[in-house]
Amino acid sequence: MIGRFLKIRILQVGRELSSLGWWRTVVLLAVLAVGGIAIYRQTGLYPNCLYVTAVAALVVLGIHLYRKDKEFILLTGTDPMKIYVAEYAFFSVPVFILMLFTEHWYCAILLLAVYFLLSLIRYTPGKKTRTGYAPAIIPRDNFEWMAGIRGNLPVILVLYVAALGLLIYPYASIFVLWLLLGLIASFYQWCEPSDILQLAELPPKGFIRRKLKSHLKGYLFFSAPILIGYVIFQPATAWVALVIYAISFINLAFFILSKYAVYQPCHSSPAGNVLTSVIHFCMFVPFLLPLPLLMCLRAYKKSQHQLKEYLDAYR
Amino acid sequence: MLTVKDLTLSYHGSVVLEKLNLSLQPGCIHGLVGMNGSGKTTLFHGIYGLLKPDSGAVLWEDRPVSRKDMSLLETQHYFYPGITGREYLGLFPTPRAFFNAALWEELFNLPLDELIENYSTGMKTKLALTGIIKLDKTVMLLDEPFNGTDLETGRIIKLLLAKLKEKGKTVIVTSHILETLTGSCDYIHHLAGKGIRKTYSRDSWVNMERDLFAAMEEKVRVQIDKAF
Repeated sequence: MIGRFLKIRILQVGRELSSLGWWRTVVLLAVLAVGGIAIYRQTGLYPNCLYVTAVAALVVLGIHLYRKDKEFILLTGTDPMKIYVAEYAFFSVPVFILMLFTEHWYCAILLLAVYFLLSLIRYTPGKKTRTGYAPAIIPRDNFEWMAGIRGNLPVILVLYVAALGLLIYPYASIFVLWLLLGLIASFYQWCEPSDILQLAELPPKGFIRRKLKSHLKGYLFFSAPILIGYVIFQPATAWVALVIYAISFINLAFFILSKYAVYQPCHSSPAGNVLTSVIHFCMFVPFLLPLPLLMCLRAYKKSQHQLKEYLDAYR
Repeated sequence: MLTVKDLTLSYHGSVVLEKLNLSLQPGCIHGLVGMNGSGKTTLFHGIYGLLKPDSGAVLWEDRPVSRKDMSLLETQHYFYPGITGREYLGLFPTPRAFFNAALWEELFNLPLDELIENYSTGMKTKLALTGIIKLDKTVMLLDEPFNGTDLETGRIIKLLLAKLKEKGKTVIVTSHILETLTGSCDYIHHLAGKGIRKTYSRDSWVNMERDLFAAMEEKVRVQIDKAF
């Protein structure tokens, strides 16, 4: 049974990759290669090896908590723990290999042990049925943030407080803000129904401009306290934060535009999801920094074309 | 007057409606009946501009119809996940100050502060219909508004249609249950053979039922007899 599950996962990964197209796959591989080099180098140093292990464990914890197939796996009658550990270990093989080639090879065993512990967690954060969890300050036409914040409020609160609390350390808050933006990217994975799209009664260009303006403004208000705090507490590295902050706006614009570039009412785009993750990682790869901007321009053009069918009647 | 003139519409390469002509009196409730696949939804999409016509035109008061004049209630109701009914209604602009969410919440017995994914099919229909009414457009296209609703809600929708007529709206409504249309429409248009076969007014409902079902019932009776 575990073998069958792994086979399904491999097929799913294959489908995701094939939906990406060749050049996106090349970008993804470049990001993975850079990530691999970073993991190898940092695992060779102490205590960085522990940080690498902790980050890997946190990523898997996030996946485990929010995976939607927990009930399905229980229905199959197989021991869910075995399936979880097998899946996480299988996809971590490259990380394990990199770790095993360093003097801190025990981190691979430590990470595997953490997977066993994580797999015992049965808890899935539930969705709240009341409005209380979507702050009233969110503009009422920003349904993406309403739904996204409602679904992720505990994580967002923890990260936001952590970002403010870590202002005394260089780069830490900026890294947490990057994580928050990654979470915000997930707000744009689901396409709204066409009747909501048409409510503004604007043609594609006007609609996109209004959307970008409203959402970038929202992000500015959301993230400004962290950035201002960082500039006050870390003036020496403030310029780095400002550069990353500027890029984060390009990334956010890309997340929004990529949704409309492949817009289909009530659908989510697997290619879009993987691509947004790839673009988000580009922030850490200096030679890939222009990519988000180029992708943004491309997505803008594509979104104009894609929305024609639904919004051209408002010209 | 809403006029559909020689409208030909194709879907996935096959012609669904061909040179369809239809004139709809303003300020009336118009029913649209037809078998599954006869093109009712396609006609709605054509009028609303979601489908580009192969040929022909849709005119409102002798000018090409603008989507800004119309609202469309689709058969399938999709909602954005993770938002409440109140937040959904909040997305709809209110052209006039007549809309009071609390009154609609009470009328339709809608739990507006709950996530829409927890709603039943009937509740979703009522919520979508409330949004359409909030838009306050002159022409309203309602595709299967009675779907999934209980007896009481069906009755409320009938009364709402009467109110919309009173307010001068032109409403086109489809339903699979003929009684829901005969009870609320001024005219019923029979869609068959890629066009409008016949239009019936209130005084000819009896003829309509006979026309619609006579041939079909004869055939089905034979089939049922064979099946038993």
